[in-house]
Amino acid sequence: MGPYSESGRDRSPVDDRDAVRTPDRTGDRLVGRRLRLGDEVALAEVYDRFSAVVFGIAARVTGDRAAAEDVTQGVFVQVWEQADRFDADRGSLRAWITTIAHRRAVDWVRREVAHRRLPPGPDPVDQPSAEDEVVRRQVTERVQAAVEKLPVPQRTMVLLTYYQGCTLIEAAAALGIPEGTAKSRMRSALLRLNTSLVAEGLVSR
Amino acid sequence: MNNPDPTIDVITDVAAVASDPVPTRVRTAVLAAIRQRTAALQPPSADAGPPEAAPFATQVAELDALLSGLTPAQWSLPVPAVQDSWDVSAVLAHVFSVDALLAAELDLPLSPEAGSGTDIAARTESAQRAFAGRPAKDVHAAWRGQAIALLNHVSARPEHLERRVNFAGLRLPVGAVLLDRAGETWIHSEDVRSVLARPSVPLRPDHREVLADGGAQLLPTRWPEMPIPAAGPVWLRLQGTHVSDWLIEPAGPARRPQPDDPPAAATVTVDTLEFCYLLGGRRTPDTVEHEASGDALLARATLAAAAGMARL
Repeated sequence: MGPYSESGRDRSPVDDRDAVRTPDRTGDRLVGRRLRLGDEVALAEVYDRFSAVVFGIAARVTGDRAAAEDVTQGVFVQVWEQADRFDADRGSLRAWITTIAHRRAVDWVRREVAHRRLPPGPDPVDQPSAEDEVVRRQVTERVQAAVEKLPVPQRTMVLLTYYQGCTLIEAAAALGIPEGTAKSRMRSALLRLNTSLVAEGLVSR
Repeated sequence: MNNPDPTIDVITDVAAVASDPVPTRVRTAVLAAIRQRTAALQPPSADAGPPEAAPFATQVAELDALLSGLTPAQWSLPVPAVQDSWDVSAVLAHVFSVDALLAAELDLPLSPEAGSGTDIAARTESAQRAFAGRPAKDVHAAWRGQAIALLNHVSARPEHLERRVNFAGLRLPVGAVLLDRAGETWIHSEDVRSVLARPSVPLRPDHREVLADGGAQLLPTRWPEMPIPAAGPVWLRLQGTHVSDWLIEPAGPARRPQPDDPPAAATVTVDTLEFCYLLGGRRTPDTVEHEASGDALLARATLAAAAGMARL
């Protein structure tokens, strides 16, 4: 299993533990409670589930490995310190953590740009932020365009799961393919999307 | 229902699937930073967690308060009740090492000084070496952080109290191990108070009763080491605010006596606090206040078995 398959919760179709259409956040709620009670085992579990996603975001946004490590560390320390701010009724743990990851990574880029007095490069925003609707729409459109360019079998997987809200198992059943095939098709799709998003300059490599 | 905007999910999964693995040093650094924050907290109060953890919580808070005011010279005072060559910081490194056995069983993050393996003496020695020459606040923070992390964990996962774990060569429920930790933390606090010429702080009556009962239940684990073949069950009466009777049989668990039980080969009556000092190795079969009847050799062997449960 690739790192992504551990990381998805709630809406992410690469993880089948949660049904997309009925977000059951019982697990997130319990983990949130344990974090608030200061259970370090809960934090270690959260780290093991989400570190790949967080590190991936941080690496893309900063384009700097050492910075990505620092950002990843900062994200999980913040998760620990601000566990009382996580509300499972308002969103998934995954969404909360990836939002923190994105913010911290963008903050790093801003500090770096200010420090070096370099002209800002491509906008480091690789996901929509609530305060920037224009960027949000652009990013959404470009991701959709990249999805459209995928070979049909891969595109179907992505559309069924991310856009139609099927779990990976449901998508495999709908397409009449084994689960293992669905997984590898999804992985290929994500890797191909990565290539095209990097080529488009939407995310930095 | 369609996903209104899956862009974030697509991008985060793309990033995760295409990125290099996160170096393990990041995990280590995160857990160390979290532990540092745990160590800066006040030990939780005894009623914050499950009742099984209350004696340990009480003793952690007591020992922490005792250590917080020590001068460097006091940290270096020898503690002959434990080992002539050990000072206060070496005793604390020992307590920290034994606590780490439980922390490891519960998958808690371990400080680098906690060492590895199941051998208590080896672990203690390695922790003492790791802290040697460093300021006493280091071993204090390591012990305190780990103890608070243990307490927080069992508060968050009280269902783990029933789980059996490996501890000191036995397979025990986490709740029983926490009683052991409470007893050892208390006995070493008493050792430290003694070298500081401070008055003894006896266990609370309710805690001494659960600790004494916990010790009595473990006595059969010492039977194989008994110097004499047991002629029959021993009736152990622990006399505290309440009377707690145990029938200790050579092969089998300690249990509450029943009316139709055959007469015991020996009867031993001990005050609960005295019994706790005996379990902690601060009384011997000769010095512990008790009353015995029946087979005198067996009664004495029972007390020796209790004293033998002390590690240091």
